[in-house]
Amino acid sequence: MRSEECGVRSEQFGKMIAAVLLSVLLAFSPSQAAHQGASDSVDLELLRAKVAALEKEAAALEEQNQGLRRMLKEMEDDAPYIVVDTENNRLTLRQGEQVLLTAIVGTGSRQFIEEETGRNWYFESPLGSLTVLGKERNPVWIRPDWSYVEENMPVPAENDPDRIVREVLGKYALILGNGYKIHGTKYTELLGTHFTHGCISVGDKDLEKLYKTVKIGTKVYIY
Amino acid sequence: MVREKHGLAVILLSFLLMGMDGAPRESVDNRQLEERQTQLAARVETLKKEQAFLLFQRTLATADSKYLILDLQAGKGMLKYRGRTLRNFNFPLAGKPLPAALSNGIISLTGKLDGSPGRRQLVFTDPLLTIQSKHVSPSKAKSKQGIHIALGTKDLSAIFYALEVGSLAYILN
Repeated sequence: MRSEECGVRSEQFGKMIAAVLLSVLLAFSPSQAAHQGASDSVDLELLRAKVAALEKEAAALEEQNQGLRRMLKEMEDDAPYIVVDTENNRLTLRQGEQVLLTAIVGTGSRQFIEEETGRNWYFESPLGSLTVLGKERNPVWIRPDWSYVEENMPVPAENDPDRIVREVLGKYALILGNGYKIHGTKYTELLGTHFTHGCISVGDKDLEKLYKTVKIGTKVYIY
Repeated sequence: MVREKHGLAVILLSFLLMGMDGAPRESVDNRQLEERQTQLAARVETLKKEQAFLLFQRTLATADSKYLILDLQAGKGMLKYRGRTLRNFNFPLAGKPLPAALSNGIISLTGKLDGSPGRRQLVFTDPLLTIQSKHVSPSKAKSKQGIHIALGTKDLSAIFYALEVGSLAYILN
């Protein structure tokens, strides 16, 4: 009886094992596993390819950006340059991102005068990119025609010695061309206003520092 | 009893063998690759933005035109010409907070509204950005839409006359 019972139980257990193994075999049959494995490996390969493409793109961009940065670096020089803000009558001497000097200056009066003959002048500082073309100590002012017209005086001949005026432009001048200069002034109380005939007037101390720092060829940006 | 033990061993062995087909390892690889992909995509995006800004600077470094660089997060701006800084200025952003999605890029000056120093406005698009005097409350601005940058009168005057319609600005956000 006991051996019969034992035989039945082993038979039942054997069936159970067989059922479990069968279901496991069916679930992970070679074709199913191969299909699942293949799909996983395809996904993984696709992902690897995407990552590789992104790595390549990032490397290319890094290289291009490095080239652009180098190009920009080569384009900028580290020499000081002058900036004149004619709206607020301020001059700054800059070097890279550093401000070496800020000065209150006088710029063109934006006034218009006309001679009886019809000749006329508009006193505005020249806007744009200029260059320091020369440096002068104890500059002399050669009075232009408009200076006489402005004071209702007869205009003398071009080489008339009366045109030579000393000690009105300060101790130094930076020549910008076309008759324009950065120079000193007797009218220091007018600094910060539009009072000149187009030149940039600077106070004595600032002018000295400018003269000593700036070289011929220095860029001047007037806006 | 012995047969039961054998059966159990067979089941355990089959599960053990199932685990050797490489699936868990592949899922680790997969996760690592996905993380790398996300990192690289972000890096590529950053590099593209950087490149756009570098190209803008390179182009404007040789152009005869003044331009602005506006760092909205830092509240700092620069008026530049040929790669050189003409003026630095600061601006606390007026009105509503910045849209976080506002992307880096070029905007163009499309309008200059002149008038008394306090009423001058520079209008850039696209997106719409207005530079105005800090003495004008954003609610009184002609356009209440877009981003409003408020400047001191001197900064605004300097920039107002330095730029022309068509001048460019680069937004960094």
